[in-house]
Parts: sequence; structure tokens; C-alpha cells
Amino acid sequence: MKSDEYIYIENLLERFFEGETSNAEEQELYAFFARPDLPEHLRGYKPVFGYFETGIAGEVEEGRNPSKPVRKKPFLKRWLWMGMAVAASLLLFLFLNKGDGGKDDEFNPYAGSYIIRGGVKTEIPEEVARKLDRVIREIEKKQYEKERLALRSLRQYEKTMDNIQTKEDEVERFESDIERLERRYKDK
Amino acid sequence: MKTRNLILTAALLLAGSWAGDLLAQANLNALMKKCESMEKVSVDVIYDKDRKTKKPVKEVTTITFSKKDNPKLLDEFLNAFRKDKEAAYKVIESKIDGKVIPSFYRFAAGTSDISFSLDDLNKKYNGNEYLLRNGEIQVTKIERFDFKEESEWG
Repeated sequence: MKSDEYIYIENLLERFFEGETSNAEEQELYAFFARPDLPEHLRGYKPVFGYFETGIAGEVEEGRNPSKPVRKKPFLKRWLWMGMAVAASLLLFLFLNKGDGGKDDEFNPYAGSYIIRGGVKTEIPEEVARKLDRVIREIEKKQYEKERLALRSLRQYEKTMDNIQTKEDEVERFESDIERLERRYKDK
Repeated sequence: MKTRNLILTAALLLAGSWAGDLLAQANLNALMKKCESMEKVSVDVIYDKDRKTKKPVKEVTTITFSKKDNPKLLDEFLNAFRKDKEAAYKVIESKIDGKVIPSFYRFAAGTSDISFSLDDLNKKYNGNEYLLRNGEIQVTKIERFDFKEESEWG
């Protein structure tokens, strides 16, 4: 014999599927079908009320907290970040290269220079080589003067020879003028 | 066959001219090298490099000795100058006490220009013991790399 409770639940079920139950009556159905010990003839309805309870509950939660829409980054903001990254890289590059500029100060143009005294070779430091450089420039100047003086003599010689040639040409012209005048005088 | 012979001839000529450059101051170079191991001879070698390119611009070798300590060395240098004279493109000599002494020789060696000069420091620093402390005869070799002929008259 069915209990009164089971008859009541069966009536609620019929009205539930007709869409006539109130919220309170539906809650009664959920509570009934949540029991572990259900009668055999009503066990088939358990999954239905399990879906309705969780499924509807899930839909309600989504309604309360709608998922945030995926916002695309604005085009301009993306390019702004890229520009900043490029500028930062460039600054870092310049900063690192500035360090290399300092190495020019360490450059020794006289590296490897040495002196030999009594058959013993000694490398000389930059400051000593720098002083010797002044002596070297004097030596170079001396060599240059030798060349200049030698060539000056040569140029003077060439100039003298040119002058002699010019004088000789003038003498030739005078002689030919004199000859012409003599012939004219003789003809007269 | 003809082409091969032509190429071979050209190569030999090039090699010959290159070797010629090397041999140009062979006697002077050899003597200066010998001076490095001599006891009473002072040798100064100064390198000069371009600050921007870091490449060598010139190398100056100065050999100073006294006739008293090295009586034969001056004659050896005069001999070396005489032997290398043919290869020099510029020769300046002076006559001292009836003797012709090389004063300044200049050689071309590839892209380098090498000049040698011989000086009697007594004429300039007569009696100056400090400046003549290493000797009174000075031979200077200046090798200029990647030399470009410039007008020397300004």
C-alpha cells in the first residue's frame, strides 16, 4: 500500500510536468528526490530532479555573474608598448657602447716600442714612448730638411740653367736682328 | 699553352718586383738587425699607430754608437749604404773631409716608404755629453706604412 506521502509526491510530479507547481512545491520535490531511500517506482525520476536542481542552479549563477567579455587590446596601445620596448633596447645598446668609447682612452699608439742597451731589450711604457716621440719628430724634421735643402740646391741649379737658356735665346735673337740690319744696310 | 706561358711570365714578373722590394734595403736592414745584439750599440724602436684605425702608421728605428767603441761599425754602415744605393729612389750624399758620405736614402717597398739617414751628432751637439752619451754616430730608419706621396713644399 502506497503511503500518503508517495501519493502526494505523485500528484506533485503530475502537476510539475504540466508546469503548474509553485516554487515551494518544486522545492519539496527536490528535497524528496535528494533522499537516498526512494521507493522503487519513483527512483526513475531522481536524475530528472538532480539535473533540474544543478542545471537550473548553474544557469542562475551565470545570470548573477555573467562572464566578462574578452577585450581586445586596442591597436594603439599595442604599438605603444612595442615602441617603448624598442626605445628601451636602443638606450641599453647606447649605454653599452658608451662603455666601449672609454676603451679609446686606454689605447696606446706606442704599444710594442722598446729599447736595447748592452744587448738587453726592454719594452718602454707609453709615457716614455711619448717623450721619445718628440725626439722622433725632430729626426723626421731633420730628414725633411735634408731633402728640402738637397732639392733646393737642385732647383737652384735648374733655375740657373733656365736663366742661362733664356739668355742664350735672347743672344740668338739679338744676333739674328743684327744680321738682318747688316743685310739691309749692305743692300742700301 | 700560350696563355699559360703568359700568365706564368706575369706571375714571375710580379714575384720578382715584390722580391725586389724586399731586397731593396737588404744590407741596411741586416746590419741594423745585427746592431740589436751588439754590446755598445743603443737601439730605440718606436711604433706609432693611428688612434682611430688602430693600424700602424710608422716604425722608427734609431741606432746610436760611438766610433771609439765600434771602430768598424761606421765603415760597415757606409758599405751597406753603398750596396743598397741602386735600389733607392732618392739619394742625398755629402762630402766631408774629401769623403762622400751617405746622408739620406729613400726606398719604396710596396705600400711603405722607408728612409735611412746617417748623422754625425757631434756637428749638432758638439761637446754635449748628455746628448752624446750613447755615441756620436746615429743611423735612423723611418718606415711609413700606406705611404702616399704628398707635396713636400706645402
